[in-house]
Amino acid sequence: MITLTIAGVAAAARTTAARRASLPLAVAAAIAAPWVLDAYTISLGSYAIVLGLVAVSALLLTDVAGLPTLGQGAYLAIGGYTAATLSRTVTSNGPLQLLAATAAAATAAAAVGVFATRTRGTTFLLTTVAVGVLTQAVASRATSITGGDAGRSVDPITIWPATAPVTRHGYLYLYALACALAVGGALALLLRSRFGLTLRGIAAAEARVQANGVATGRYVLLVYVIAAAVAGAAGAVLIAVRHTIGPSDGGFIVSALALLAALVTTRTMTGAMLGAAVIVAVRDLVAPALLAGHANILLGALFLAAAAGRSIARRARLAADPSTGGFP
Amino acid sequence: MTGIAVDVHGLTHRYGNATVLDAVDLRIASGSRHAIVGANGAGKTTLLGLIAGSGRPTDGRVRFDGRDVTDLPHHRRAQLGMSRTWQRPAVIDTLTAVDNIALAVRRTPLRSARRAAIHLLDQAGLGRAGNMLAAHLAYGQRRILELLTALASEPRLLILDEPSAGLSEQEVAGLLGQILTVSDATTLVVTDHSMALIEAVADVVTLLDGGRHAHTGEPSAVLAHLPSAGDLSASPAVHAPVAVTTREAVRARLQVRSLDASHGRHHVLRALTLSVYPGEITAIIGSDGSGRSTLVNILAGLHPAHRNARISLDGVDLTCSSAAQRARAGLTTVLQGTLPIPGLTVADELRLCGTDPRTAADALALPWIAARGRQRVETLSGGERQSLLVACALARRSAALVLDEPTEGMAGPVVDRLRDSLRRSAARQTAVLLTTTPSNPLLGTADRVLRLSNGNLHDA
Repeated sequence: MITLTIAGVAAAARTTAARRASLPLAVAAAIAAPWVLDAYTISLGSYAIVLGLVAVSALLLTDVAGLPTLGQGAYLAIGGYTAATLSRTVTSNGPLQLLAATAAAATAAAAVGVFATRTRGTTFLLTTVAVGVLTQAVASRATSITGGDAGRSVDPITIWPATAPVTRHGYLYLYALACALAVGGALALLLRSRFGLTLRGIAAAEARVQANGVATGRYVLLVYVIAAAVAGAAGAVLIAVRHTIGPSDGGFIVSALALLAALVTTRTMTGAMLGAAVIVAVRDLVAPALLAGHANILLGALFLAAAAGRSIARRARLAADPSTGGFP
Repeated sequence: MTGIAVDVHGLTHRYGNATVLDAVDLRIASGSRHAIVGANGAGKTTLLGLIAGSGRPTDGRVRFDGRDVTDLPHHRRAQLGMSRTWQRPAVIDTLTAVDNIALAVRRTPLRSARRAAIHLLDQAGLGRAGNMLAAHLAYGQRRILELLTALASEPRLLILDEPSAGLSEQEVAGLLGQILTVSDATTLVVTDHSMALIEAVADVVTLLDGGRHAHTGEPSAVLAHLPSAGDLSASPAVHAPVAVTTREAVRARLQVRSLDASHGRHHVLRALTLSVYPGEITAIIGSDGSGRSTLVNILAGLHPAHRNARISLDGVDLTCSSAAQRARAGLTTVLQGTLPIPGLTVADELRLCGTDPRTAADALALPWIAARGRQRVETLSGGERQSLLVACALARRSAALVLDEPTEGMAGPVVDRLRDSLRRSAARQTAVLLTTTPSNPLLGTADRVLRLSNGNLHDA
């Protein structure tokens, strides 16, 4: 079983049998969901996978490579509009749209990244915000391609040439899940390679990695492109499951929620996916029932609680440990 | 005929108005062991950095094996065969020791690079630490790991910036063993404050003075020019302990009772008991990994002790106090490896710790601190930064002063001043506790020397 854990060796060292089993269990539960849940909840699950992929993309940059980002929504938009355009002009084939969206987002990121990846830290963060805001502005102005603020609607995708379009929410959800597992598996392999180790090295001690003879700038550009490709894939999945995209689908709020999903739990790919699922559940299931129209208040409270919870959990762990005196 | 590995010509470097290197000319022969010595702030680290490529000079050229590398970035110089270590070991905390080294083995699949790394670690006696995260290694192990990482690329030029800083005599011996096994095909450039290490390694020594090239020659000839050589190998006379009867008449200022502590599952300190008395300098010696720094971190309030521990200052229980509360209560600590806050000036840094440049300069008898209040701390040399932090702590005139390895990176003359300053602090009834390696020259001024081993203190 390929482990999706990317939080590094630290997490691996803490991995217990229970944690090791949690990934297969989570995947099994995710696969079983369409047979258990109603169509509306499943369509929310599909969107959670889209947000989860953007979260994985943010995790790759922020946690692995040490480059904080609030602009991955831009690449979701580029991927999404590419898939939509393809659907309207060339093909309704979902996997083809996925490849094209990935390639388009990667190409855009390569162009932007040449400049963006010369910066680090807060400057990089602000650059990604600027890229996100600019992309959203272009999406609402370039009406001929994007449909402007009304967005673009497309026909359902086909999975295989000359087959019927997929319309049922359960199948679309399974398609999204398969895309996410493929992306996650590929990234897991990548992160275990020399490339992945080098990225962690750059995040922790860039000068050391340079002294090893590595042109760190190229690695940083490459990871920026890969992260954008993942977000671009999320855009194609969004088109597949929702048949529609507008400027706000890749906006700042989406980038921010993706970053929060990435960092709020265990800082692993699985954790990012779960974080995204919790966000969507709170926003679209819990909030309408409790605080109609104020989902963001509930989300804000959720994240404050999660941040406080981490610190409380740490104290509780120390207090429960007989070797320490409940040290803060 | 021996070639020239490194040819430095007219090398000048300025940080703002401060000229750190002033038209230095230097030739380093291929295969030689070349040491650069000088006081804190003489420009040693800057010179090494400019050779290795971590900065660009204001003026002058650097040639490596006949090729002008002045404008080449760090990684290109590494690809040409340069390798280096830093004053503070630069290891990748988030990776294991094996992966730290494996990343430096180039053009090899990761699997065989890891095998080579395990081999190197085994040879250095660090085999058991291979799968530990670098963040969890003791300071001395991090140094060895960094050296092995630098060696893993089989460099033609190896640059070592103060490799012995913060190591015990025993560890310096181990490190020396590693350095002496470096192949003759590798040119070695090293700076260090341990003259014992310089004498054992170097065949040529260059003395830098205020950023200028003062002398180059045989080690014995050049070392004679050094002002009061900070020879860490000299075995200091240990003062006779103050008689127990007189001490018991005085109440201890800093008291530690039944202190146990762990790092993960590793039990480091066991039922440790310690009293530090006003007017007395107590030194704790111990090898790397003995728990010296853990003890200081616990005293500072930065590492958890087990439940039954009690820590008090002047009878006030501080066991459950935060780091800030302890500092306010009069317990000042200087941790090993702390840095001043980048972006601040010397004066800002001192203001943050509740003092000013003049007071701090007086506290450690270092006039430069008063004169350079407006200089930014990141442009100070490693030894100057350490002096600044220690001066900060001394200037607070607190009830208890705890210093972990305070002389790290300090030149000999500064160590002498620190010794006098500690005596003055003790004369003001401060309880002084310092932890250090068994060979530290400061031990000469300690009233009491205790040895930390197997998690507890013993008379040395």
